[in-house]
Amino acid sequence: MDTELLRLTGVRHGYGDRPVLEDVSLTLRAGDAVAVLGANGAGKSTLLRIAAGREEPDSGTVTLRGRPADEDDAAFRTDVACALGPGAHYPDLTVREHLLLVALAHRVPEAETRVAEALGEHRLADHAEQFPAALSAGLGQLLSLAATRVRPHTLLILDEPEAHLDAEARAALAARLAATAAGGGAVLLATHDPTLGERSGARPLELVDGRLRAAE
Amino acid sequence: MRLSAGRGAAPEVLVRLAGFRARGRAARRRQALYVAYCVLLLTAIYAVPYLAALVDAAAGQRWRGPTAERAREAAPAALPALAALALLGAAQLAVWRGPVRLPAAAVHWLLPHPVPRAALLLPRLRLAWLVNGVGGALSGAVAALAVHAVGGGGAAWAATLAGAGGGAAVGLMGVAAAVWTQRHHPWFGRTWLRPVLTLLAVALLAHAWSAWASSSAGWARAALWSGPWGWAALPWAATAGRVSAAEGACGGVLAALAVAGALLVARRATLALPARVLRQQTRIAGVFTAALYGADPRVARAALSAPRRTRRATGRTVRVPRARWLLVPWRDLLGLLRAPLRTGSGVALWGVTVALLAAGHPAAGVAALVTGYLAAAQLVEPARLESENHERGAALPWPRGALALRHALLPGALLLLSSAPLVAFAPLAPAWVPALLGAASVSARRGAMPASVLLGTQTPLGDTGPIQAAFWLARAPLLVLPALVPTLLSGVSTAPAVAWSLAVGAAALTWTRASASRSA
Repeated sequence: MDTELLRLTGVRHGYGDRPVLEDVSLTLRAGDAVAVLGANGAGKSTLLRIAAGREEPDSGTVTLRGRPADEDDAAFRTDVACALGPGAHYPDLTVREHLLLVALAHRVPEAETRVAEALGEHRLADHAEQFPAALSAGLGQLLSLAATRVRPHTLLILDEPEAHLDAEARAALAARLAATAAGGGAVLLATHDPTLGERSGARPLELVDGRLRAAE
Repeated sequence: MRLSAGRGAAPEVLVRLAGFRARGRAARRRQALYVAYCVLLLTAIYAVPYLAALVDAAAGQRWRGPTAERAREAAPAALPALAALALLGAAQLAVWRGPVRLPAAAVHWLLPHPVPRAALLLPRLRLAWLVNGVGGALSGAVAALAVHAVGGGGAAWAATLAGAGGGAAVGLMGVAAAVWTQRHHPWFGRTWLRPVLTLLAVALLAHAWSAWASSSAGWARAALWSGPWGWAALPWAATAGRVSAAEGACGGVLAALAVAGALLVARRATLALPARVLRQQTRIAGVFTAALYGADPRVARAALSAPRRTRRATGRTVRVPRARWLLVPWRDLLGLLRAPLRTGSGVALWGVTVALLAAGHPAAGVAALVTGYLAAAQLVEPARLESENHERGAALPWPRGALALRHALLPGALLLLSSAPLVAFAPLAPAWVPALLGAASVSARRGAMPASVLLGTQTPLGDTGPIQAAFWLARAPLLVLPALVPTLLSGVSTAPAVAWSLAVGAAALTWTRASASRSA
């Protein structure tokens, strides 16, 4: 459990002349879960995008298992699962087929079984043969989360995963996140729901004025 | 959760994806065939007659005259310039829409996963090669035929073949330039390719222009040998007798080597394309296509604006006024100050307008109507922003019609004040302001074109749809500006002209209010 996974060191980033992240350093080891809290516009999503290798910081380093975080690296993509916001879907693929696609892309053995389990865990079993366009916002969010469950990962990065979810779904999400960390993975999430972080056993950190500190 | 899995995924996932999508394949194929049929039909109707005329003229080298002679002499200098321009165009277009793109669903569901990039991207590259190679070949053949028609020399079939080959070579090199631009994208760092291509194209175009102006070949040989853009034209130059056969053959070999290098560069760049560029360009392509289908050029243009880091308003701010009636002009002033290029061009156009009116010539007066409208259109941009989304003005206490008129206050004051010093020489300028602002305001609020406008009636002269669309887009200036033309007539004295201008202005502003009140 002492295996270091993600390390951010002295990360600075901004847009134009507005600094968003100032000297942010963070280390996640196997079994760690961190919930980043902060006001709207604090930089939580920016921090997650940098950790996910989707944006390069103005300065500082981001490494995963000692290698630079780069989403163009196949090994990085194998290790890191992200749900950073809604995206487009194949209009002619069902919910089940979308999840199968992800499982197959990672060569998950018995992909159909794994997908069926994820559909059940995320209350999508009754919607498995629907097209994503027919899903509500909440079910769409569950689909995004289910896509992170059907594939292997050592680091899970989630941006406001509680959005559009009812209380029961949030509780289930918290339980899954806790299980992920207990199973040796690491979780980094941004959330506006402090109880989600608590129930998932995540260490709360707060982004204030671009700096990360322990939440009060 | 830890699941065991091998590192990297086989393209089996893409095979399975094709299987999942098989049920929709027949429909997609029918759609593609229908599009191909429409393109062929339009080509047959509009392009074939002109092509037939070109082939006929080329067969007998029938295009003669001073212009034809200039074109013939300048062709060896012009073709490398056009090739360089094509390469620059490909690189520039690739900033927003590169040849290697993924559909939005693939960006979200395949790109973040260890699916081999080669399996995802190389098919797109091959398609780009095919389209650009064929397109380049057709363009090169047509250009060669056109030069042959003006007496380019040599056999028509040889010139056409050489032109097709050269065109295909330029098309394939263009793909390499474009993919290179995607790979080393200017949004994420300094690049050298487009500046270099720009300098090259400018230099070659300047040389071609001087060759045209002097009806001579200029330094055509140097242009033809200057690089791959010229080597591709050497075989044609040989068939036309402008260089020796040996030079033509040598140029062909060099062009082939350049193409081989370009294919290699394109393949390597494709495999190294950053995911963030693919994501951004997919997003832009989606918004741009939707805007084109909606015939909304503003949204299309906005989609192409670079996804730069969000700017922060710097410096330019004006104290909030106390008087309520100044609030909308204050808002408009902030908008104009934060778009200095637009505001500056509006002021400059108004200066041109006043100068044209002061010239006193009727033709200058008509030109002044156009420049005056364009000046007003630049300054009513804040009104246009509000009309794009009515939620923006929903919090304000004024109804939409009244709000539309309040948006005319600041631009009107600006135009009146700037024309005041020259009122003695151009008395119509301030009198035109209400009418020009009214026309510009109506145009600013037209919104997206309804699809029904494009459904025209078949007439012996063709479908009226495009004409209806053009009229819908320009209806305000088409109705208001001609109404001001009587004020330019030489027999009309100043007072009646001013009175008529103000009457037209009142009508235009009434139209502004009515159209704003009706807008959904």
